[in-house]
Amino acid sequence: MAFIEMRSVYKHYSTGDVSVNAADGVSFDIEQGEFCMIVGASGAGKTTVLNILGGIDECDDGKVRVGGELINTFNEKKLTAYRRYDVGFVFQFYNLVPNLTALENVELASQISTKSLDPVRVLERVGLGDRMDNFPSQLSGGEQQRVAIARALAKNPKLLLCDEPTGALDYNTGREIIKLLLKTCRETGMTVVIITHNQAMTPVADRVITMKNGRVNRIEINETPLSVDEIEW
Amino acid sequence: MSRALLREIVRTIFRTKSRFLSLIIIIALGAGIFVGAKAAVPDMKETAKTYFSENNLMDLRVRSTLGLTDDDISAISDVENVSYVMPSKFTDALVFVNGSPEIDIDGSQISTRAYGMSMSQLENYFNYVYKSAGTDDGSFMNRPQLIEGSYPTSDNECLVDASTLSTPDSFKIGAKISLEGDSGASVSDLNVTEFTVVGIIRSPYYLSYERGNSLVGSGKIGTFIIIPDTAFSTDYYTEAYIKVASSENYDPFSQEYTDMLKPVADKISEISAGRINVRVADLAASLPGKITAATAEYKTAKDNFDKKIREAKEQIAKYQHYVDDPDGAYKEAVEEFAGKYGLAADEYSGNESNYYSSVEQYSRLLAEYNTKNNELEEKRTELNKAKTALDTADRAISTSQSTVDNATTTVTTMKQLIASTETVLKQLKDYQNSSMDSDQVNSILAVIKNAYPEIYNAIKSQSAQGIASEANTLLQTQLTEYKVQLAVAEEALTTANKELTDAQAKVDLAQVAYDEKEELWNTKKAELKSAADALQSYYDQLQIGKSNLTLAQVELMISENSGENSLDSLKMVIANAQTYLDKATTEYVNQSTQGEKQLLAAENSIKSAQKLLDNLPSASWTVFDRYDTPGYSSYIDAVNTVSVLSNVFPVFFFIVATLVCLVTMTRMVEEERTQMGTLKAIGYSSSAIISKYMLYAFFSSFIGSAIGVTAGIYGMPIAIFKAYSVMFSMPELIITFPVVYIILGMGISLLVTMGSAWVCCMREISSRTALLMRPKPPKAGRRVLLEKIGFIWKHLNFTSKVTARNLARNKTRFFMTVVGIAGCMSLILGSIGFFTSLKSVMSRQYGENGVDNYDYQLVFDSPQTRSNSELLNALASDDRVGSLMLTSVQSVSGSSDESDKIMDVYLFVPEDSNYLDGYKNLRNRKTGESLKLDDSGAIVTEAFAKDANVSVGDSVWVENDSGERKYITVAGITENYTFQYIYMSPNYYKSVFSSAPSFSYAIGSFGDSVRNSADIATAKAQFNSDLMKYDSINAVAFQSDTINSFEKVINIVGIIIMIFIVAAGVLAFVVLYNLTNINIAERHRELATIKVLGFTDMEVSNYIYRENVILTILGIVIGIFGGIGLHKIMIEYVKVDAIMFVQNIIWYDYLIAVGITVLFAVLVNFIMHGKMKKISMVESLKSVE
Repeated sequence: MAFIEMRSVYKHYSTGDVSVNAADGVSFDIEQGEFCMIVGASGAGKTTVLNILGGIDECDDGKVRVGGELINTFNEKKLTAYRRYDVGFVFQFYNLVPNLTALENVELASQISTKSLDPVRVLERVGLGDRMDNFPSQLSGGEQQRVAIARALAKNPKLLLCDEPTGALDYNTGREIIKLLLKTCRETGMTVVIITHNQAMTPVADRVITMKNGRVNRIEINETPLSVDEIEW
Repeated sequence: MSRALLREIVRTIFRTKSRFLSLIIIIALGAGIFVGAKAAVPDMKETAKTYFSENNLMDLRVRSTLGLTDDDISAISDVENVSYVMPSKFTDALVFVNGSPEIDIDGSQISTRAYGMSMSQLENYFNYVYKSAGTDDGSFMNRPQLIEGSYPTSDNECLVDASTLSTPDSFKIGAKISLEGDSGASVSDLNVTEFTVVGIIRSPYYLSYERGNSLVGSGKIGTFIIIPDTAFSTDYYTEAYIKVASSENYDPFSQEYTDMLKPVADKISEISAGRINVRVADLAASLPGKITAATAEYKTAKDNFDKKIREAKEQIAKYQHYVDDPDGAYKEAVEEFAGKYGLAADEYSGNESNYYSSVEQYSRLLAEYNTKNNELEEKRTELNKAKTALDTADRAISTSQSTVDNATTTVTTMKQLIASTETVLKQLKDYQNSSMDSDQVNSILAVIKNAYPEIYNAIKSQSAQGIASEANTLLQTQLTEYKVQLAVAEEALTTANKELTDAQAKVDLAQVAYDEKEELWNTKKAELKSAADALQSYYDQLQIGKSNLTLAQVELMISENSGENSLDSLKMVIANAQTYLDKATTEYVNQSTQGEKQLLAAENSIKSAQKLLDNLPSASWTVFDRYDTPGYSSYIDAVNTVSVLSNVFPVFFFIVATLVCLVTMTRMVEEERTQMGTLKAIGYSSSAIISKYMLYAFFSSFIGSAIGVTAGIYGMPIAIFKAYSVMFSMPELIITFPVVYIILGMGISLLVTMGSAWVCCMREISSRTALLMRPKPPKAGRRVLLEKIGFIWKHLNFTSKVTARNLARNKTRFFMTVVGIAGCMSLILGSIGFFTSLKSVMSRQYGENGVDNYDYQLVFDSPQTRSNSELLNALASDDRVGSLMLTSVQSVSGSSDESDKIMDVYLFVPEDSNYLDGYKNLRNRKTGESLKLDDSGAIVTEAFAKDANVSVGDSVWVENDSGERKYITVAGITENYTFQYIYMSPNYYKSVFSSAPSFSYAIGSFGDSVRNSADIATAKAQFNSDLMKYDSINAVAFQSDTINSFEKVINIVGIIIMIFIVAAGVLAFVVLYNLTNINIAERHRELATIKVLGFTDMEVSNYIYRENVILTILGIVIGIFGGIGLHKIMIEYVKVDAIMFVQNIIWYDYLIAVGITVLFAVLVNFIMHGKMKKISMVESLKSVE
């Protein structure tokens, strides 16, 4: 059994007169420890799938199994616990709390998890050992994203979900971030799912899920993923 | 302005409806409470003024201790500037409704003052008010305003008072009210004492629930009624109401009005002396007669009473015996019956034998009667025989007599004939002897011709001579013949005489026989008569005997039957003897109390007439103004209280509300800065862009303030007035429109909201357009001051640090929230504290170890002295009177040369200043050190000293009615909360006023029998009514009554304060809600993030709450100081009756205030929790706004 199993997941949004089928029968598997990328154009339903996977959104139909548990059956409380202990989230715009230093932002997450890692160590690991006491506004975008990753990692989750983590970053910084995520995946065996619209990045992934109009278009298993340095975008 | 912009505004309003709504609410609250509270004062004044003028409340009132006559009334009318005088009668009486006495809350029987009013005036007034007919009769004052029912149209109908506090519930239309004097006496002033309630009214004379004092019952008027003046029997008026010319042009609450009345009142006082002399002379002539008559009546009543009581006692003794010894009683009854039956039987047999012996006697008498009757018949026969004999004899006599008579006649005739013949012969002889003239011859011839016609005829033809001789011869012959005839006749006469004598003898014999017989008959007849009488009387007796016998027989029968019956019923009576005894006892008690009452009343009426007589020398008129009417000054105090509250609270509200508006508008503008930039980029002018926000601000503040002002103008005054309506009985509140405050309220709202919108917009819009287009960078995180204090910061946990930073980040919001909460907290604490101060006045003045330790005050009708007062001796023997101290209390005006204020103050002189501390604790409020009243000076109360601006050693002055000013040295200042006093020792009083004080009052404490009574209220009421039975006690005032009336006032102020507390609470809620709402809106993204991180809903809420908690705590702490300050202001300016407030907030006031504030904070957080739960993580994280 795969670590993540999505089966015929449907999600329908309607705001006023506009109605969108964001997920229209999505099914895929992701194995434990895989570095997985979900690609597709804007509005393909990537974020919806990721949100459902991360327990911040619910599907209308279908089954979502993570680590053997059907999270689509979870109630609000169990979902909160799921997010708290099993999932780490990295956002495109970092979503750091502006009023907290880098360390404190990490602590915000580590405080609530029982199996959390030492925030200082995690920050050192993401290469911010010397910027720990800086506020987000005092950090560059890449640094902020590193803090965000550190915040996600500090909880020591089973699953790391990243929504366009490089979307707001320049090329080099983006590479660094992907490198960091890949490194984390390889070193800790954490399952990492990354959303990107950048097809060029996919060769580094173990599994590439291509989405189009709310459906899974193609699933590629990459037996020999390239290293980040080997690719260009 | 473009349509697009307008549409955009409308959309914005709908999109941000909760913000828009909260703006409206806050502005409405602020403006509404401000304008509403401000409007309450003019509304209350206008309502009272209109009420007074429509109901023609009198300006002055004159009352005479002796009543007023028509002459007095016209004398008053003649006083300058008096436009109308309305004479009036009233009397005080105890009330019975539908036959049972009406009882007051304190357990005493309610007394009422019954006013007489003219039915025609009432009818006219009714027509004037309701039918646009009739006239506005200025001489009809204190017009009762009909609330329900109709005005009376006959003597036995009345109107009752509408006040809910003072009027008994049973005073309904159709109820029968009867009036009685003290102790069941009839009301001597009235011809009619039973009335049917036909209408419910309110009177401008009785503005509040206060009713003043009376001389019956407990000494307190419970309620009043209006009856037709024709129901009065008195020939004088009790008082007169006076309307002064052009008084309606004055504000009734102004000093000008009071000043305008003074000269009129003075003038009336001036004429009073002359009027009283006339009245006194009249009464002195008529009263003694009345007293005599009343005394006679009393005697009759007394005899009647004694008899009734005796009878009742006998009844009781009988039933008591039945109860004590039922068997014996029955036996006695049986014996009694047997005895009675025996007697009846004896009587019957006695009657029987009497009857039969009577019958025997009767027959005997009857026989006797018959014998006598026979004998009488016999005698009657005999008598008849004798009668016949007598008659025969009589007849014989008559025959004989006639014979004699005939014979006698014959003899006489013969003798005459002879004589005449002889005469003629003689004449003839003379003629023969001498010549005779022819005349003589002719006369002789005539004689002859007459007597002897034959002779004449024989001789007539002869000559004279011849005639003579012839005649002579013839006559001689004739004579002889006559002589023979005479002899015969005489013989016959003799015979006849003899016969007559014989017959006479015979008659005499017969007469004797007859008389004898007659006597015998008469005797017999008398005998028979007496026999008949005896018989008759016996017959009567026999009849009586017979009927007696019948009666006795019937009686015997009855006695037998009824004896058995009555024994049977007696058995039952004995069985139920206890009930009968109880009934008899009750009857006895009723009879005796009622009788005693009547007697007492009769006695009282004598005494009161006597008293009136005694009082004649001291008679006087008193002139009162409206301030003397019950409740008038309370109303003024109420208006002043509202006035002060309206200056303090609403301003506070307004400040808080405007601050909130400022924050809200700022937030709104900041939220939309991108849009502003876009619009600017498109090419809209700054003013067009700003106009959107200005309009938004305008709409919200205009709608809010319009709603608030409208609701405030109607709601607040009506709510306040409603609260006061418990105390005051007045018509509907008249809503005035205080234009100044409306403009001020709406203007400030508009100004603040639009002003803050403008300021914010200007701040944003002045930035470069490009900058505006970009989202405002989130405020950078910063280290807070606290972090520099390392050891504290290190010890704070993580979330506290976050909270501390967050708090520091947005200083405006921090400030606003704290101010908002502090404001609400101040309002609540100030209000509650004020209420506590109000209440604590009562406990400090009257409570345990309070200033006043006495339980009651007595008012005497004349000054008393300890040494020779019967009254005091009598009271001393009453175990309910614990201890009693005579006092002198005078109401005077007082102040000092250091002050402009003039206070009403009581000059209080105790009989013995050494014992005053048992009744009143004179002490320094702060140190608690007690003060001793000595002869060196007076001790004045704190409030008086403060108002007079004096301290120990200074002097104050007092002025009595006559305006005489006396200076008094202040020897001490004492704690006191209600009323103001100047305490003086008798000696010091004497040294100041150069006369000894007269003690017409006494204060006392209860004896143990009242104090330890199980039912103190009843014990007090009984004590009260017993005290009132003393003639020389005019009034009894219990401290508990004073406390009650103060408490009523306090509770009303409490209600008003409750209104403010609720409003403050709502404000606190809206402020917190609004600020938290803004806080959440600003940090939407942050909250969504931590939710994604796996924070539970509770943790997310706490993330915000912690800030709110700290802000609330800070607000509360600041609010406590604010509240104390507010409390101070209120105490300084709010005047409630004659109360001095002391700053006093008790710990639980803080708790309550904090509790209420926290409650609202929790409520806000609770609502916000729901709101935060709904924050969508997906939506918030999509992109940067």
